Amino acid sequence: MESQHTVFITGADRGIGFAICQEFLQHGWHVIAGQYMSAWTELTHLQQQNANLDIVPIDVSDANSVQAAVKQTVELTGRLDMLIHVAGIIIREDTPEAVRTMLQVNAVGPMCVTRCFLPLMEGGRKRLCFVSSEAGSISLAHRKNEYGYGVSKAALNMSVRMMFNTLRREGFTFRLYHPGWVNSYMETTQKSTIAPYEPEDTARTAYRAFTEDRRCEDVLVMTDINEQTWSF
Amino acid sequence: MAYKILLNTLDNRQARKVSRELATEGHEVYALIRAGRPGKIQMQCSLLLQM
Amino acid sequence: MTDQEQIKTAIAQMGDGFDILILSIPEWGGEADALRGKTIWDGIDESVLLDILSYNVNNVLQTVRAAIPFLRKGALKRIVLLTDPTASIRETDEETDYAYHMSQAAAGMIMKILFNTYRPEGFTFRCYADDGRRAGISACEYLLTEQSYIETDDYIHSDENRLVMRDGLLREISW
Repeated sequence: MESQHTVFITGADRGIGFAICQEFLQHGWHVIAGQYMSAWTELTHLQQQNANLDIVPIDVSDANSVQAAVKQTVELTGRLDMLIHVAGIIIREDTPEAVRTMLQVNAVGPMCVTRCFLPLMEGGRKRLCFVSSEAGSISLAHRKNEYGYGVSKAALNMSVRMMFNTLRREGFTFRLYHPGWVNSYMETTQKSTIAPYEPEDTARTAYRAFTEDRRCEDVLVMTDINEQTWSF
Repeated sequence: MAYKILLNTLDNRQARKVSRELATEGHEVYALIRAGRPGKIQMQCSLLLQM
Repeated sequence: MTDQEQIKTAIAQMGDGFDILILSIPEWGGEADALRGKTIWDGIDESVLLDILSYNVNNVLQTVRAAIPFLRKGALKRIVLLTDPTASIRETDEETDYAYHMSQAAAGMIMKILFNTYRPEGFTFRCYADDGRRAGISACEYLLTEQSYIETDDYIHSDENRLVMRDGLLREISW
């Protein structure tokens, strides 16, 4: 019998990250949920119903927090098969401070988390998954007057490309995913209601995209909730 | 026609090369010069070369 | 941290308006040496990376914001990005110097959003990727070319109505 696979998911407190946790649990994975908002209780309630769920605090913008999360994860599992980066932030202003924060969380944070977890992944399935956005597609960017979020996602996409260039030849495989316009908590403490998709919708596609193997793993592509490919 | 041109930095090899070529061709070329490290920036706008 | 007001004051020394803004990403010495040659395995210092990336992005953004009113008064209203083919997320095979390449991608996105915002006003854009060859068209020549734009038939394809990155042999490089 195949041993259980283990996944670490950042930004798991609510919204898309939480829904992805639920999806992986339903499919029998051991889920280690990266918790940033300890006061938000959804994860704790989910853990009460799921023996396969562990919760580990992590702030992706803080290297010390990331390293502490790795230590805790090592105590929970001998190997990590998959790492899913969901944690992200959007600030609807382009002050230098806001731009810096978005770069820190959306672009540099996933690099730090990947770097710190890589040793634990070497004996596992070696799958790295990044939730990006159509906002990071330079070719198809449609926004006007608002720079920070798109810039941070383009920088993320470049960092993923560079990690791909190094890690692909060591057997790591990559998924870069645009979740679609989802009712989430990205901008407020209230869940939005105007988007066409719910977190559970995108989590279903994400599960398939992240767990299925592809015939060609040697090309980095960004796919979305409708399994369409986006150009960079 | 001679243009008035501004570069955001000269801390880039291509920028330095382009600024020299444009100035040689008779354009009025300026650059923002960064003095110091991040957090201690003094911005000057220097006229590089003018024919 | 760059100061937009400081930049605006500096630009005002040029007079009322100017014609072409040329953007590029600063190539750092000093702190950037800590990142040079390092792959994801090599213990990248994320705080240095963030400082450089944040400075590079904010430098470009604040320069552009300060410059736009002056460009509006100029004859050409052109914004240029000087870059190189490693700025292509799709095609690059780079593995080190994360700060520089992430900054290049960020600059490409800034150019695209600028295009979306200001092209309707008549601004024009050039992205030149220098591949180091001494063949073909130089950056200076390229940034001054017109793009066969026919105002009366503006639906006819020309580079003026899309943001495109080209090298010295005028090959289009994907983002």
